[in-house]
Amino acid sequence: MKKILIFISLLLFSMPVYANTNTCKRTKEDLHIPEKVNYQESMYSSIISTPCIDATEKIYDFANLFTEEEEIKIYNLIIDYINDSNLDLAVVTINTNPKSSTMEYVDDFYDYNEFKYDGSIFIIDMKNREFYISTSGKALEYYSDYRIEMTLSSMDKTMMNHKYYDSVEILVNKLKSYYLSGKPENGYLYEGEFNPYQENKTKISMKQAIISSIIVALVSSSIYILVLCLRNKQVKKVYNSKLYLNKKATVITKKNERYLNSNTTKTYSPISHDSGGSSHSSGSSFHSGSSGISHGGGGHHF
Amino acid sequence: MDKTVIDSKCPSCDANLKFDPKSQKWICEYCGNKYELKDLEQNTKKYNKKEAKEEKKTQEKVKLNIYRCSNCGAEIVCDENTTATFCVYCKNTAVIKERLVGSFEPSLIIPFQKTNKDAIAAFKKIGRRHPLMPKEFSSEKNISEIRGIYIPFWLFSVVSSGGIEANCTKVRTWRSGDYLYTNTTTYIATREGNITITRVPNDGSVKFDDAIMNSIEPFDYSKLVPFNYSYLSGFLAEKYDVDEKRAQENAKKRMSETIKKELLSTIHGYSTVTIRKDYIDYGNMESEYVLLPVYMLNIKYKDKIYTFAYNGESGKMIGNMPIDKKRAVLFFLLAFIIVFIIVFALLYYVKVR
Repeated sequence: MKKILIFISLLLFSMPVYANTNTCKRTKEDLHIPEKVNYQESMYSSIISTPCIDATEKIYDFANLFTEEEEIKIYNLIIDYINDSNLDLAVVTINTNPKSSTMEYVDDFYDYNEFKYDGSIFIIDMKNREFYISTSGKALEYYSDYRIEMTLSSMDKTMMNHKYYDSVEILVNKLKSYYLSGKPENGYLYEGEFNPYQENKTKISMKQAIISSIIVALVSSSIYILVLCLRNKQVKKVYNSKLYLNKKATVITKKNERYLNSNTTKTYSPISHDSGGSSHSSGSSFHSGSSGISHGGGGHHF
Repeated sequence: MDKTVIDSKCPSCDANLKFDPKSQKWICEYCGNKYELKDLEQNTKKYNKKEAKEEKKTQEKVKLNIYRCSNCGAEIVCDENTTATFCVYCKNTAVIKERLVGSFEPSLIIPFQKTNKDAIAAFKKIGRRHPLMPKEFSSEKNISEIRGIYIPFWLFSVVSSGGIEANCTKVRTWRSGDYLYTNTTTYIATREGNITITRVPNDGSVKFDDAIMNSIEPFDYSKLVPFNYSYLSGFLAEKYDVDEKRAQENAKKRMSETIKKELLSTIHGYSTVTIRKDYIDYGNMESEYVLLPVYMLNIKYKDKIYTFAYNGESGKMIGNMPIDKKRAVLFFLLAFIIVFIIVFALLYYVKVR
């Protein structure tokens, strides 16, 4: 009885793996851990529940969202991207998620398979109705929170309309163009929550510091000197006698107000729906996956 | 009637008496005795009889603005309006009593409350508050030129009946959809009343700049006492040459401004208020001709004369000061460097974080 249960559960666990892909089996003896991971005992359960796949296939359509031709097209897009950027890229789709979150699944999927240390992975999680991009290594630096957010937003429409192939096409193109525009200026990494709109507070260049100090010093000393100069002109003719007014003796003998007219004007002033200038963050937030490797990225629901 | 230059003389030793602002009494420089006004009035009566003989001799000289100093006999030349001056030879101050008669006799006077030393100290003080003033300005040479003068003023008091009519608006705005509505309701407000203004001063001497005299106001009128020429000893004095009518017109201008404002202050609760009509009846304006104490100092710097006035009752000092260009540049650079260092240090700290 027990053996049957174990066999069925193993089958269920390995189900997500079966999708026209070459897979390997993880066993206690050989977990197929890639070199980039520093194995710890605590990782065992995460590793064993992560599908073991061939990292060269790049597209793992477990949820069967793509047709054969689409898969081939996606594969070619990805290979192009990898050749241009030297960053790895993979696309995964799943119907069931054995892990606690989409993020956890995709982090582990990337870490515990032979993908390059520097790279990204995109997942469409049909169970949690979430699509997510996870980055690692150099890709973390290239794809700041803001860039990730922009990429996800550009896919919102196609994902809503279940146009999954189109979404992936948009994704790969976006990742490519962001890569080509270089690392974000004044980029920085910080451990924390994904926040594409955070104010870039901390970095100013030395030149900017000097220039702003000069301007502030110039303005304030000019004002100071102006005030001192004006102070030197004390003599003023007085045109009132307010010092000599005996306020207590004031007697009001007549006091009335009468209505004259009234008019109303109307002006057209529509409320603007601008989102207001958002200061772009060049920061990339990261968190540590179970493997200990830092991952960046973010996701949207659909 | 006396036409000679007369000083208050010490009843004990016959020396010249000077009025001391600190004690508000007359002090004899030689025997050190102090006297009050009532002591002097007795003495001057005696003296006048003696000098009656000198009358005829000095009569013509009065018209030519030449006087004979009662102390050393030298001839003093002075302005036709001067009523108290000093002899350039023996430094004796002399009161030209003759000019202080009839309509030219002031009814009241505020005797000097501040001494010459106070004025000098105040002048030295301004150097500290005004770092851009050139250093030579408060030099001893300039300071020694300070003079205490009783300046003639006309004081005008009135209980006016005035009125104003003003356009007042109440504005309301609200939004409905994509449109902004503004409603403006206009009212006409009328205010009439009796406004009392007491003792507005008007400089009665043409040669003293009105603006400077305005700037050292106010004088504490509780210090006014009935006039007696003895107060003038030790100081310079002038009689008025701005006639009452003209001074009254100037005073009316100042008053009308305040009357309008006072009536305006009774209108409340509007977004805008603009006076469109005003009418003021000054009625019977009361006028007083008084002498008020002022220390004057004229300093010449780079071909310009700078006048300083020190209110001899309140101690308020006023004057326009020149700006020493070198000092201005120095202070500018100093301020610039200090601010630059502070701001740069702050930015650096934030950046390096």
